Amino acid sequence: MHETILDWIKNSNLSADQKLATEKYLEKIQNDEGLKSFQIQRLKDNLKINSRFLNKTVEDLEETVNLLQDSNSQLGNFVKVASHDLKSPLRSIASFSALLNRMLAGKLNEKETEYFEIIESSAKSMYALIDDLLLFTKVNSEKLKIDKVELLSLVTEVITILNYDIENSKAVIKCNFKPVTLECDPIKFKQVLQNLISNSIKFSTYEGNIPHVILDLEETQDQWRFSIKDNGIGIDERFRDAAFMEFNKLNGDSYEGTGVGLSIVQKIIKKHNGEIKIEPTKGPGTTIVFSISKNIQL
Amino acid sequence: MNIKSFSIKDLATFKNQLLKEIELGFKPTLAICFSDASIDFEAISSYLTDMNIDTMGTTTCGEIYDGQSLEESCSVLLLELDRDLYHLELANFENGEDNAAKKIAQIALEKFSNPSIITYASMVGANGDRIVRGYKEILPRETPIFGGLAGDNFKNKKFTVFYNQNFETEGMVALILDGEKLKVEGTAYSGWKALGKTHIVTKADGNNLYEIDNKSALDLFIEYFGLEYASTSDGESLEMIPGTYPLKVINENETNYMRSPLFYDRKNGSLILAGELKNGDKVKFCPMPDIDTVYETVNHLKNYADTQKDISAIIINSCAARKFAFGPMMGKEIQEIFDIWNVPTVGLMAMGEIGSYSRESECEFHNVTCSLVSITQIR
Repeated sequence: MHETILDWIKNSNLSADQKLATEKYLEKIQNDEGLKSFQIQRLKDNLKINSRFLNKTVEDLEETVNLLQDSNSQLGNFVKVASHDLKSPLRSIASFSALLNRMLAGKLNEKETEYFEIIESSAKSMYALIDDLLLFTKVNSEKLKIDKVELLSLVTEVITILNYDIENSKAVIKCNFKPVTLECDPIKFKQVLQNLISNSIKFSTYEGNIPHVILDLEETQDQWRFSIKDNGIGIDERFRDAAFMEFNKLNGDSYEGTGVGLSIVQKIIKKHNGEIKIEPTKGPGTTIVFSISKNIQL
Repeated sequence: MNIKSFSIKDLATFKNQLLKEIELGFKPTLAICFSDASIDFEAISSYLTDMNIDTMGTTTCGEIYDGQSLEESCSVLLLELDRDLYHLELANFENGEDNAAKKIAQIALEKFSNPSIITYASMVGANGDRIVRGYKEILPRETPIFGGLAGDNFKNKKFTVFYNQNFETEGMVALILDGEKLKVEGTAYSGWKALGKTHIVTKADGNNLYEIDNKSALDLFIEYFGLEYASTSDGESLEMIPGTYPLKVINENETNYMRSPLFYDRKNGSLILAGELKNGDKVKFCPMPDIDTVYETVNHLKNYADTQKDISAIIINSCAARKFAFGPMMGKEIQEIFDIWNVPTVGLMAMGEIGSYSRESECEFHNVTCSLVSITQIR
């Protein structure tokens, strides 16, 4: 076809310039068509390659997931074993230290008594850290066991567990919601409430302040939304995300704790298909808001 | 600064064109030539030298002239440039590519306080990485270094670089420019999109890539791209078009560069690349280039153009493998690039490109990129 047109142009009455211009135009069209068919073929070839890569990526992902699961499981086992092996000598340190302290009662000077107290409190801190580590590993590896729960009963259980701290600090805990039944993992969700209320009491207990902790609940179409508000020292806006990082103690050693509590809470909430964040507050105190799904996808 | 570009098929026609321009007042002092090996570039250089025009040139795997990708031609950029603003140097590779580059770099620093370098190297199998290392060892990090490796349209017999009447088949030529008076900048960009996960080079030695992710590089390559061996007169052969499936090297400082597999060795399961890789390098596979690769490159150059004003001329050092892999899209890319500036533009299809991604990034040796250099007079 192209050759025929070229012959026709060659034998036509067109001027030399017109012939040249027409030939160039024809060449351009032919090039354009060549380019288009090349592009189409290239797209087809790349479609096959993309499909292979997609399959490879899925395979790679599956392999990575398996590796991660193995690694997680090994880590979990390691933590369990290590925790057990760490706890036994620690128990001996704490109990023999207490025994010695009692046996030597009245014979120790002030400095020596203080040293015994340091040994006991350090052992206690380490015990708490090991427990939190174990809990952290469990939360990571265990699947949720969803059940129906009366929320007020759960809060009452938490208050009972925290009774010692509540009485000592004279804390006031107020629940601003009516009895509801929700679906969650009762043990893990209780841990969430316990960690958050315990934090609220801890960081609101200081000279001249009585902790006030207010629990609120809002129901939406697909979520339960909670808030826990206190009148404590608050969290600087800059550290609101960092507060959820493992072993991150925003207040250093000024307060007791391992720095794992909030990250455990966040992990549990995420497993409940929810979110957690620290809300900006006007005035002192901290408000933590979190949600859990009404239809948890395990 | 008056600059003109020419495409030469025969010397007689070029002589007439040049004489006409000279009659009109054009007074070129410097010529940059990109010539197919089949063209009598020695005669062209001789004629230009006789005309008192300093000449620097290289043989190619294809020539670029304004908006066209050509073959069996010679593209020439003629510049009216004060002779104090440039210096031409030739060095052979008898002491290795890196030492030749170091020698030129030393001279560059002696000639100008702030030099820029446009350089081309001949020799079949010349090591571009060594050339870049040699330059970088002597020159300050910010020195613009652009160029590439000569070719002979894939005959792989005789690559040549030249300076006036000095011809070198195993060496390099450099145009050293005064960076205080001429702004030489550029960008090397491939336009390729990478696919899939990042892989780690676990065994490599120079241009030989033996293992990726502790697996045979060749096997992995075949597995990912679904390549098959075809029967040939020499036995079974894998179709490996250079530049079709390059590897993108992901640097920590994000100055990515490309490595193109050229050949393979079935005995040891390795790929032979057009540039070096080292153990621990992170790489990603890339699919075949399509029209998006062209537009990605053109858009990158348009962004580069936004940062450059009053450019006088463009030199394009485009990879020869790009010509293979792009097919008819190559002409489209060159035309689109030319249309960005519409200034005299020449260049070559090179066996490897030298350049940096941006003014801030380091010079690297590249495969399958379009390494563009802009020359602007500082007023």
